[in-house]
Amino acid sequence: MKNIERALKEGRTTLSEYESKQVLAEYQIPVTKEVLVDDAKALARAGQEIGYPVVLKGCSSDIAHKTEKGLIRVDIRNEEEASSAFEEIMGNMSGPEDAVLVQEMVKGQRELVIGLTRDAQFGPCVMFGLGGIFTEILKDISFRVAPLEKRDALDMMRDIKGHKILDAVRGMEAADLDILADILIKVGQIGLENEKVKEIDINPVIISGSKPVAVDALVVLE
Amino acid sequence: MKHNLQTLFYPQGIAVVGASEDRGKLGYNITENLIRFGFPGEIYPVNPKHRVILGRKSYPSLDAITGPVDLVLSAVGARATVKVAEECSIPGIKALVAYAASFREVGRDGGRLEGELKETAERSGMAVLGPNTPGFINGNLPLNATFFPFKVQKGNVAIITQSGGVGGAIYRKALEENLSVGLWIGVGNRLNVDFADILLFLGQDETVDVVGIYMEATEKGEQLISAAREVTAIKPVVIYKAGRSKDADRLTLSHTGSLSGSEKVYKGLLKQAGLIYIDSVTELVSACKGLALAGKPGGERIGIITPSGGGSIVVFDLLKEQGCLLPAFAPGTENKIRDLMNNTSSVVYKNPLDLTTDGFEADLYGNVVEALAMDKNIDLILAIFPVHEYFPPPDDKLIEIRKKVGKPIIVYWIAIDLLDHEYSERRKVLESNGIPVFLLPEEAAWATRGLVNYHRNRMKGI
Repeated sequence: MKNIERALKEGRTTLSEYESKQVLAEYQIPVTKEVLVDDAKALARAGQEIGYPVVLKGCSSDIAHKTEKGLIRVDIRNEEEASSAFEEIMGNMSGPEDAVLVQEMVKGQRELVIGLTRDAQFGPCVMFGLGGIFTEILKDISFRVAPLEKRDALDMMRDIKGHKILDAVRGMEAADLDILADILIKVGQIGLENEKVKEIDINPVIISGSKPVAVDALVVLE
Repeated sequence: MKHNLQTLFYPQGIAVVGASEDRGKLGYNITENLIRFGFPGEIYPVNPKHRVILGRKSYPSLDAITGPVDLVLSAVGARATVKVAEECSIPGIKALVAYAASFREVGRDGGRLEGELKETAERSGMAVLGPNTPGFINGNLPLNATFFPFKVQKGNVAIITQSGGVGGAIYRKALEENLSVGLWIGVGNRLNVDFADILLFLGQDETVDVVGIYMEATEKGEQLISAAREVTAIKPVVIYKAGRSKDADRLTLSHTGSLSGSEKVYKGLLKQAGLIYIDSVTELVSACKGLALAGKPGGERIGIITPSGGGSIVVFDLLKEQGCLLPAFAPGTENKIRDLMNNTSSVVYKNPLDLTTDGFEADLYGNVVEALAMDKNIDLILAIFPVHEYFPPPDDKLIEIRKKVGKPIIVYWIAIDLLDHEYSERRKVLESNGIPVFLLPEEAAWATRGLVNYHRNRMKGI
């Protein structure tokens, strides 16, 4: 895991969102299409490549919670909007390696959280629950210890109070439980295979149509 | 360790160090319990100040005993208990119960003392239950090696408890429910006998069909999980994990970190290991009772029959909470029930089946239960019936169905008064024929959920 080694060498304890998602992608976890840019030219190219609307996010390894710092602009519809959002975000950051992540805008009303933590007794444990702002408010979550089997993954999804969010509700398709189960299993595998990974927070995982996509992610290192 | 636990829980000769004739002393209560509840092996009181205790010859020390001793009950204080352990190691005694408190639970000095006790136990390879334990009961012998005057009985349920008080509440509730707890074990400070060791032992003990655990915490969680995986493949294990509110959020960078309070982690892991995770003392007893008496269901689809709306609504809510299935009856069943009910329009022919007051008629009720039991869409039955002197329940019919069809039947009596002698007896007859009877809707639902969750766990293993 190049990203993890490099971060450790630099004495960092977190990976940036971009780096975090690269780790997830290496384990075949579906993540947003995204490009990291640090100038206007690259920004324009990224916008075209991904296709508007896009999301712009300030990206740096020392920023965990971006919303509170005004580093996110959503629903950017053209190059002009992109460039003014880019300037604003860059202006709000002050690190040496500041950059902006241009990201596809994933549409979906259902937000989940998937995570990993290391329990002192049991080792890497995978978390599943309601995502977005509800993670903190409702704490509707469940855990299983890695390695997870598929039935553990399905069980832990059924364990949360709000599990009906995964069903076909209000005209939405049922969430693809096979893919979700696979993500849960893979997150456990990351924990088992990378001792230096202390925690992972994938929040939100948005259900787009029926397919889950990791929209934001944070990997914390030991 | 396994061999030593066999000696600990199935001893042949017991010495009580600190035996006493003073009713206020632990050593009196323990010795009295051994005698009163009829321990069939030899009992050796040890106390240098007496020659006879409770009519038995008293010995000045352990090594003065001439007969074979394989279990020592230490009824003396903390410091003296460490000495008792030393003395046990000389004649090679392999099992000790240390009742005394004031060990590691009281701080550093107690911790040091417990360290000494542990060192002695490890050196001689002795299994120590406790310290700080109420002891244990093995009703199958019979043996009451606690200081509680619990009446003992044979039984196929084993309880492991981290608290004497809560364990006592479980025992009392079980007695009220005619649930036979054969083994009752207080783990105390878990010097070298922890939950995992006892669970593994109970897994291979053929007198035990169901294990119930009351746990607050253990440092050996990993061993517990691995023991649970092994034992739950053989028999159902129900766990009530208390001490949930200490769950202090840790300050970490990620949400996952701050939310991983060990309680939620524990819950997930215990379930993952195949344990039936429940939420109260009463639920523990209800689930154990259902599992101990009703037999294994072949599936998880429930049929409910009731003459009362309310009871079935409470039951229904609790079952739905865990995604239990109450399927539609097969067409043939519905027709059969319509025939039995003369197709009356006051009944909605759906599951749960509310027969209204027509259902008070015992023969009719029994025939409808039979129709339900024969339905291929139904794996277990929850039969609700009122207890009223003019409407005796169709006990014989239920027993006949239970025997003939083999599907679990759980009965909930809507009791309108305290059970009199007749109904206490009727209840015992049903229960001795594998039909657990409950007097509260929640308890009936918890028992049903216990069976459903056991079935789900068994399916996972295949």
